[in-house]
Amino acid sequence: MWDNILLGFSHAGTIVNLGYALVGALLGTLIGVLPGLGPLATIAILLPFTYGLEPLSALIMLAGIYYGSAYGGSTTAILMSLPGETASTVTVLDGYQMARRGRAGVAIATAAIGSFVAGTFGTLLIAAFATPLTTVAIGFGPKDYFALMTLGLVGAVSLAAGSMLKSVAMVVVGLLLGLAGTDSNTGLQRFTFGLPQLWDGIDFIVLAVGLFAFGEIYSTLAERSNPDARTSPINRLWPAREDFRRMVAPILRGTGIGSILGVLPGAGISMSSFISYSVEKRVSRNPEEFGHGAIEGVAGPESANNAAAQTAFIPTLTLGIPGSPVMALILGALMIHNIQPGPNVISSRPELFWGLIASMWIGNLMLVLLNLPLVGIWVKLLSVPYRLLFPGIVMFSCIGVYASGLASFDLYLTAVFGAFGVLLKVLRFEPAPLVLGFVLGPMLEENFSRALVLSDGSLMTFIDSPLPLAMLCAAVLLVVLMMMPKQRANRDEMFADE
Amino acid sequence: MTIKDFRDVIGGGLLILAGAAAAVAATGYGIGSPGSIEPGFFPLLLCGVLVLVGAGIVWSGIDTTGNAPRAEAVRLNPWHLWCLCVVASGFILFGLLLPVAGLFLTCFVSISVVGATSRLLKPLGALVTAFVLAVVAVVLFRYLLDLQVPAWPWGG
Repeated sequence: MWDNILLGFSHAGTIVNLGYALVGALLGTLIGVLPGLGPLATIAILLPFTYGLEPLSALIMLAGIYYGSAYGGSTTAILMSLPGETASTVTVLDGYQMARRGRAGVAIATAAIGSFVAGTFGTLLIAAFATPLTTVAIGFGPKDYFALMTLGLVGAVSLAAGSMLKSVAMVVVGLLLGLAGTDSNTGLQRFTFGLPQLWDGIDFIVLAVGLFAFGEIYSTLAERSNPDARTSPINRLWPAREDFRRMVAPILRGTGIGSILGVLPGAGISMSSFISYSVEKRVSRNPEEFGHGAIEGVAGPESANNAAAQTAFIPTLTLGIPGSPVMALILGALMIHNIQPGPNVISSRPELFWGLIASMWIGNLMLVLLNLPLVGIWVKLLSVPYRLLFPGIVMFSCIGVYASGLASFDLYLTAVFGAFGVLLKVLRFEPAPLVLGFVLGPMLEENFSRALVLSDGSLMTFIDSPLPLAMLCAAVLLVVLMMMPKQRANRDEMFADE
Repeated sequence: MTIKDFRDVIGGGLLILAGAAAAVAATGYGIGSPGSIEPGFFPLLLCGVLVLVGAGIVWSGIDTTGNAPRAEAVRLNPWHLWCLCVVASGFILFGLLLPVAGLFLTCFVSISVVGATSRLLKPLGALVTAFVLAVVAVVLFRYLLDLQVPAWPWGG
């Protein structure tokens, strides 16, 4: 394990890659701080600009954007009660109260320290589990993969917010969209509407920018939500000895909770911070302080969501199965660089795999060392009005889409998916599961048909050996559990609390 | 039996339609049998799931007990529709202009249009913002990142 980590540091630690990690972390923080653009949309817009980079540099930068935006999101949550993304909604509860009591700097530093500890632990966890997991995964046949992907999709759907039936529908629509283009076995064109531009399938960037970037531009315009730019002043950053004493246990507990939940598909980041908050409130000796600026209420959830953000990479990198839409985007980035994600990456491209893992830790360190002193600058950015920002967002989205395929057709298709995304919003469908389905569609079909070829056409092949049977049973069980009225009520309550 | 949520009924109905249409297309690709599946087999399977789920969503929007509150109608908000057109036309205009006008003019024109029609910026403000952004785009993407797209109508 240590050899591998060293290998990673030797590749991620080059000046160039350190530079990309820094640029990614800064860009991510910038976007996280700015209202109206989440991490999903940002990664989608910036993805095409990483085509020209080495695959490792591109991944390092994208990962930097990913956790940088989480950091930026918690900064605005604390200073302005404005969560930049769902994961930091919980931070608002006590972080904003701390800020109103003149302890904004301490709250921000607590969040950063907690995130760093959690990030370090999460990175070690990935390093420890990656090799054993891939050894298991390399023995997987097509039917095992089919069962695993089904379980992953069901898991993502049942644990995500909103109506479960609607999430299932979105996954299936995504799977079908993923199949559009030339069939790899027969060369037949499927779902192309006779358009030669669709022969290579729908470009991943087009779908992502259309559903997320377009959607966010539209809703900010339509709702006219010009966020209030008043922020609390920052006096001192460094927490006092008493603060440190109080944050240790919550940080450790949050790290544990987040590490476990992050691996589960879909459960991800926002749920881990919510659970951590309720755990802290329960074990605290003075629970009445929660909601009035308890430092534990910042330390726990912030550690939890960062740990989850790290361990979410485990299924993505070792099995090639993304647990969340952001992970689906990272997988998309790998495929764009002609790297087939899955258990083989770790043996065929060890420098890529371990380099990325090392860079995650480096990125976390940069966020603490560089961003903490820069808090003042980030806060100033909040006063830039949205009417000046959004034309820039539109332009970057357009150029990004064009750059990915050098075709005007992609821009028209983006507008179509953008309108589709708005329709989904009006009908209260959540577009995130669609992206998961889109990425997994071709792989799911391929493993399905290979398994059938191997079994001479017997559909029983999926249930006559223990591993796929167990995974499919788990998937069915999950669906049944989530359909139970009591469970549904619990789940709705949980997300309502956010 | 009354409708308690129009959104679910419309959304589920659209899913059933989409599933049926895709199923017709999939049949055209050849279904085959589990022993030798053809390109339409897996899509047809998915379409089946989609139609079932769509029916489930329609069902969840219908009240059979007779004591659900009256459904609120889904209204099209003209302002929201306008915003959709503004953003969509930005992307389409960009795609139409880029091959003929080059990066600078494309950015300038489409950003001014989006800026002015969104009513967030005054016409003059939109022109100035668009000009600044167009300069940034050309310098950053054409000359620094070497994006393969002409900067001006005559190339370059």
